Amino acid sequence: MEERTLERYKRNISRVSAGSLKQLTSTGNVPKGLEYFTNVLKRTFVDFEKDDNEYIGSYCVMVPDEMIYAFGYRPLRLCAGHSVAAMIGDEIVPRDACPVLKATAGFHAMRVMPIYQQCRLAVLPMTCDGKRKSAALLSQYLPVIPLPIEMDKSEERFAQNLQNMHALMKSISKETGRRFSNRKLIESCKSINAAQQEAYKLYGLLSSDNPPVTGSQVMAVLNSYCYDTPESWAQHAKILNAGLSQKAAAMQPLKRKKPRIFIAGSPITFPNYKLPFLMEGLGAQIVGDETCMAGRLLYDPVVPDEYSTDGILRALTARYVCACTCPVFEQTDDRLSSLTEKLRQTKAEGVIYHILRGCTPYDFELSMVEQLADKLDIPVLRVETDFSAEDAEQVKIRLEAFVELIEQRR
Amino acid sequence: MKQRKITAFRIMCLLIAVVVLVFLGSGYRIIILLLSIFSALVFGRLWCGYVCPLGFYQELLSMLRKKLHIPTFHVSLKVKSYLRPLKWIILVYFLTSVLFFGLRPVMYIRPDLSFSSADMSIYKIIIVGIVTGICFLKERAFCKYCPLGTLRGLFNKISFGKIEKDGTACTHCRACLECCPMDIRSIYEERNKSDITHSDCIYCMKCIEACPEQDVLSFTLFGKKILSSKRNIKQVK
Ligand code: SF4
Ligand code: SF4
Ligand code: SF4
Ligand code: SF4
Repeated sequence: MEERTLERYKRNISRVSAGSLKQLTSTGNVPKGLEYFTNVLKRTFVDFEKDDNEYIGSYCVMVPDEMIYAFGYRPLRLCAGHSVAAMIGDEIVPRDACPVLKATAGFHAMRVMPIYQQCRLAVLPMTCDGKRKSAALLSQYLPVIPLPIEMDKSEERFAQNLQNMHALMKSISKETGRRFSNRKLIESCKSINAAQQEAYKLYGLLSSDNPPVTGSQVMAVLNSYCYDTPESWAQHAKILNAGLSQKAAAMQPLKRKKPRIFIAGSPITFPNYKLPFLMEGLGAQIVGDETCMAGRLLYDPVVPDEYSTDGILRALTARYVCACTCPVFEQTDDRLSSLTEKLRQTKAEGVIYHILRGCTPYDFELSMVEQLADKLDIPVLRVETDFSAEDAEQVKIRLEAFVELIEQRR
Repeated sequence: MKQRKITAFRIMCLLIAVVVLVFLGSGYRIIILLLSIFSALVFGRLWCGYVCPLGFYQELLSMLRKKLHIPTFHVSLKVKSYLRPLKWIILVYFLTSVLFFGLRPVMYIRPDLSFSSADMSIYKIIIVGIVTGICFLKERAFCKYCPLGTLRGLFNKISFGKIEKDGTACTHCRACLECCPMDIRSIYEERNKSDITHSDCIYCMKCIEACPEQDVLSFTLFGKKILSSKRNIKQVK
């Protein structure tokens, strides 16, 4: 790519990311301790800071971070949500593929983000068709280890998934020449667990009756975990949670309750917070989400029965595959029950069903979710969009009508 | 990674039971027998989790193994299905021997009884060694085929102690099954029934300790909730 074009892209990426960060902190209601997390995102997406870590990239939520730390690498979630990168990726992946793939390929092709260049290799789980096929595309840029995931959650297939995890460990070891250590694996389980505990508290605060924080802020905090160490993230999340709890205790109950919205569907990744920003701009409160980059990112804990390597791998397989509610699995009951439970816990009054243009697995399950919401008497709005800001006005009009509908139903 | 308070309490019970049975045992055989029958009628296999010395012996073996970070030996599904009738075969063998021949074949397969009897033949030592080895690699391996356990298990369905589950709130994270010493799959898989007490369940409550979802698994006694699962994840030691 030409030097000048590259510079222009770089400026645009910075500008878009900085714009999202600004909006996160411009609500006049910025919680104490949020700055640390926005700075993590700023370092990565605005300043393009280099660090001297070596990364192992991954897609989706099925590649255990614990394992990557056990090899002495840092995990990097490659699923990107950047509109400029998606534009560039448009020329690499098919037009109808989802923008996450476009943006990821775009970032690799552009070579503007230093952390993408610091990836030693990438572990790509074979989930949806797009991700499956993009493994070959990404292998132009860095070594790729595909991780087969059984799409059937039955007991028979569990054994296969466990074997795949064992095989993954061997492949990483072969590719990097590093030995894996049980001690480090236990340590990383411990620190990720601490981070999850804080995340769990944060989810709880967001779903409370009068949340002291906005949904987009929580999404950003959780997303920043992908570019930070669990120790440091947990430490600052603790400060944030303490501040938020205090604030919640001091808050006056609202005279007019904000419409409570739950976001379901395709991943929402920084800086693509178009949907949450629009919702919040219309006076709604996002009370939770089931997306893989926020609401589900740090939800299920790893609970090993014993701490041998096999014991931990079993627990990792259980947490990362069995508990996973991605729409790519054959069985849908896990996702539907977890949605039912979350809608109940968050007392949601409406569901925004987000579909990234090209993400068919989520679109397939829409009708089931609609049926479920119908039973619970909660309206659902399907919003199909991508990372660009072009359709913002149109989306806003639909969201406006939806918010009005919720207020009328009260 | 979670608090193991219930397990700590249970190990205490087992320890006390061993002491009581060893020191008072011989004199109070009838009382112990009656107690054991009564407890089976009312609480099913609760005795297995809190009293039985052989169960305790197996748990000590597993605790040692876990300390040494030696992985559990997991049997494949196919082998498991072949082994399933074994417990009934052993039960029938045990009952016929006791009822018709006045024999106590269980002496030969239960390490605690064998150890306590005076004559230790080579044959016995080998059997005890094999059973110990298997139980070291697989938690409560003997219990899965123990005739006394199978008998008590028949009363689990009418037991006043019940393991209950709130199926919709279960995330299918599998933590309960991974921790269950009796490998009871239905505690993990079941979504519709609320009473999930299985005839193999020894009421060890490990599933309740492991479950990270608030109030999904619980233990009720006479219909009253005594214990329930919580999200109180503690650090690994
Ligand atoms: S929802 Fe889709 S993108 Fe997200 S982790 Fe699952 S398969 Fe991957
Ligand atoms: S199953 Fe048998 S060996 Fe195991 S605890 Fe019960 S009585 Fe004891
Ligand atoms: S079901 Fe629960 S209480 Fe019963 S044996 Fe298994 S872990 Fe123990
Ligand atoms: S541990 Fe709890 S949430 Fe997880 S599968 Fe078992 S019952 Fe369900």
